[in-house]
Amino acid sequence: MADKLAQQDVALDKHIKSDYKYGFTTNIESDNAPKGLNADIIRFISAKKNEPEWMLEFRLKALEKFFTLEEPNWAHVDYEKPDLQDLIFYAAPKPKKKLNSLDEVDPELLDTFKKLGISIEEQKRLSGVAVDIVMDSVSVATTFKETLAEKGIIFCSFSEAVKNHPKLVQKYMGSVVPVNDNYYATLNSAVFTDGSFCYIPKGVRCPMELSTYFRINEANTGQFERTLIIADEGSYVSYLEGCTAPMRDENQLHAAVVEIIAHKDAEVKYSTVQNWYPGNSDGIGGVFNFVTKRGLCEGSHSKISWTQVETGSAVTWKYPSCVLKGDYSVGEFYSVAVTNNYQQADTGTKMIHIGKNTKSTIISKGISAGKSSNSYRGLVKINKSATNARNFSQCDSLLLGDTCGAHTFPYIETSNKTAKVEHEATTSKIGEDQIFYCNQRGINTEKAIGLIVNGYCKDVLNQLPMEFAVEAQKLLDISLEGSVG
Amino acid sequence: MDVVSMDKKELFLEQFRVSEGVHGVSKSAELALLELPFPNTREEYWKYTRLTKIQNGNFLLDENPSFEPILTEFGDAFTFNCVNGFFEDSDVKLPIGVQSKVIEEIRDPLVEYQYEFFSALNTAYFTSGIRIKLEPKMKLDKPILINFVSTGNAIQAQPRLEIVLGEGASAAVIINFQNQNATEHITNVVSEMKVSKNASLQVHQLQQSGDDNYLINTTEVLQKRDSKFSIHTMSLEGKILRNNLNIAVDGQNCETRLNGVYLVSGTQHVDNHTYVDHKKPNCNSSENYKGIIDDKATAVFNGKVMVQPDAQKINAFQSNQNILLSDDATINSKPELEIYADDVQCSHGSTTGQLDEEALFYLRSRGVSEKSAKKMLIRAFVFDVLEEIELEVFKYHVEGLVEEKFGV
Repeated sequence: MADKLAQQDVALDKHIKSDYKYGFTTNIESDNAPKGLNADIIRFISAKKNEPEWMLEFRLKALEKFFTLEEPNWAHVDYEKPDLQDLIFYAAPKPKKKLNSLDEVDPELLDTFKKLGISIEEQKRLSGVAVDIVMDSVSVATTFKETLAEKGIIFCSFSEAVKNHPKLVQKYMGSVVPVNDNYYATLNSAVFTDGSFCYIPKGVRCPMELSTYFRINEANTGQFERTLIIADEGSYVSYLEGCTAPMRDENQLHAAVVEIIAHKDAEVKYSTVQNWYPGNSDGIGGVFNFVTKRGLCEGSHSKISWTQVETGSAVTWKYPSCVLKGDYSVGEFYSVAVTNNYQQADTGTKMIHIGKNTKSTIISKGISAGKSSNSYRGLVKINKSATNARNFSQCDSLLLGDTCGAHTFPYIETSNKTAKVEHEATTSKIGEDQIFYCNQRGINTEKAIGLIVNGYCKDVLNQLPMEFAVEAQKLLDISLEGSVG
Repeated sequence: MDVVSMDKKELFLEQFRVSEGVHGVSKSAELALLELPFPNTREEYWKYTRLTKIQNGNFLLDENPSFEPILTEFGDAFTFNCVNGFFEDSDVKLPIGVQSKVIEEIRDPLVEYQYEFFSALNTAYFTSGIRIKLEPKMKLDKPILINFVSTGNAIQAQPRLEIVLGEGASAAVIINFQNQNATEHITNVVSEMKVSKNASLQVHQLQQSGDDNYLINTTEVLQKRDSKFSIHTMSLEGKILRNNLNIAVDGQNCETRLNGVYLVSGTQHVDNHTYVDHKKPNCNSSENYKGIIDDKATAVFNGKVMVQPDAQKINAFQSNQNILLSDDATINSKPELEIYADDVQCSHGSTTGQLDEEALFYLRSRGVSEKSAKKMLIRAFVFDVLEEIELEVFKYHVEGLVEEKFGV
């Protein structure tokens, strides 16, 4: 125990020295589209990517719809709305030639990922995690493709999927998050540049964790990636997502769409460690993280589990959701959201129970410090058809300091008498007796808080794959650094 | 706003306008009405309550209602009767230190009519109102009973009530919404309660407005330091029944208690919106609402607790529990916390389920009939809320009504 603590301390000290360690920019020439949003830009993106006609139509339809929508303002966040006409919607790292192996990847790019701590080579050898890296919305490298292909697993960039597996993409894209779902999802549908695509065939258990690393590099760009995961009957996959961005004074926009389809008996586990640049301590700069994530439990006995650790972004606005359509399907949501300084987060989940005997669990832990605002907003909806549905939700908030805010807005809608729905939420500060106990044993207050916060988030951190859990713990410590008065 | 809904709102408002015009606060409420849209489900505040029927209704004013003797089960009380929105001119014998006065003009309203359509409607065109004022240290030995009675067809009533407690005063109030063969009737009432330093006010509301009538009941409370306020809301009938209960706790060491039971069946719709705003430190508030929903009825609970910056050492608890008895019943529950101070203990819980199968089986296996077993379980479910009612006449009466509603 003491050893482990000492190790954590070393790690903590190391990280405390730098404010935001991912705040470098990479000097890679990139190929940009002109600023602005119109049908020509869409055609430009589509042409750049040599997309088939149906893809362009999909985009144009979304754009048309987008112009009829207004940016919603119901969330408990306050920010200056991004001027979409001032954004670059396509920024691809140059030179962009066809890559057959990692050796051909631009060495500077490889350097970037080394700095990020995800040296592709190393990952490949040591952890056996297959990584797809998306930089400024364009997928730059996918590892382990062959190993996965042997099992029939398709794991590639979205544009490759459009070219090589058009039937799958056409069938599933937009089936969970419709084109006109919401303002930012519609925008994404029109302008998305790349992302990851993953298909697990019938009865296959994916032998390794699949991972996507997202990075915004260029200034004035928005990142609009799209992820589509299809788990066919009886399959299993665990998917990881990580994100970083350079430190910039202006706000960058990240509006992604993630769609998951789980067929009969399939299970998908989706974990996110979100560490976009949160802005400086005066609240200048940082990423706007407006993401639509939704999973559909299509078949019976299917399961989708979302785990997220949200420490970054100036403004986070996302609700990873599960539509529990198949009988006996299960939805889970585990979340830790930390806000410090001027960060704002309005996050939570939606569990829509449609099938019989469906089950959902929501565990949400919010931690607010500094002058930040942290809200949980969630919906549990039990439809009339969802006989014997079961939901348990627990939303706890921890306040560090008297200038931050913690809010809970659960919506619980039940239309079936056999449903059992429980929701509980608490808000409090760290117990003085707990800190005193640690102090008494020679642990200083700052470390004690780290310890208590980690303990408080344990339910969620336990859900993360090992590598991510370690990273997440470190992130928690860094995010709260300096928040103790 | 589109043209159609604009016209509908205009038509709706036309029924309430008074020919001689309004002045002062009422005038600014009238102006606010022009700006406010008619509440619709796109608004967060009215998300679960559809008001189309009210919007399309034709309501008349009954300026000379007949005040027939009103029977209640509440025993001896200082009774004020209000029929179809008009208070009866009667000399209620009040002890020295208590005054009642007709409200001629609204001054310093607590209600934030600028933001809410129905509060603005009442503030602009209230039909009649009384102000009951207790001098400091005045303690009443009998409750004050206010009977809001609705009779007749398609009548609109917009009464207004003000209760002011001086420092250290204490009173119990029963607000009884009654129905005497009324149909398509709308009552839009605003009650304002000012609880001064060290005062104590207990409010009991019984809502039996009839299955064919609408009730919109807005209660605004202002609590000063060291005061106690409790409110028990029993909602039993109503086509659309909406309670807006807003409590501003603007002083230290206050106690606030909100209890509610809603028992709905048929196609009734009950919507309870509560808002407790802790502005000052060192206060306790607790809220407990329980509901039983049968047939095709719908219930809504939206409780919000706000803790303002620097309102430290607040303990706020909120609980909402529901039982659905039928497959067509719906409950929408939305307990909210909005907290800006760190040294607080706040929690909320919400549950929905049905009568416990195992408990039913246990009772059945001991020879209790299914009906009595259900009755027992329902009684047990609402027991803790009813138990907190201190005014016994009210408690017994409500207990009887609960049994009647789900009885044999």
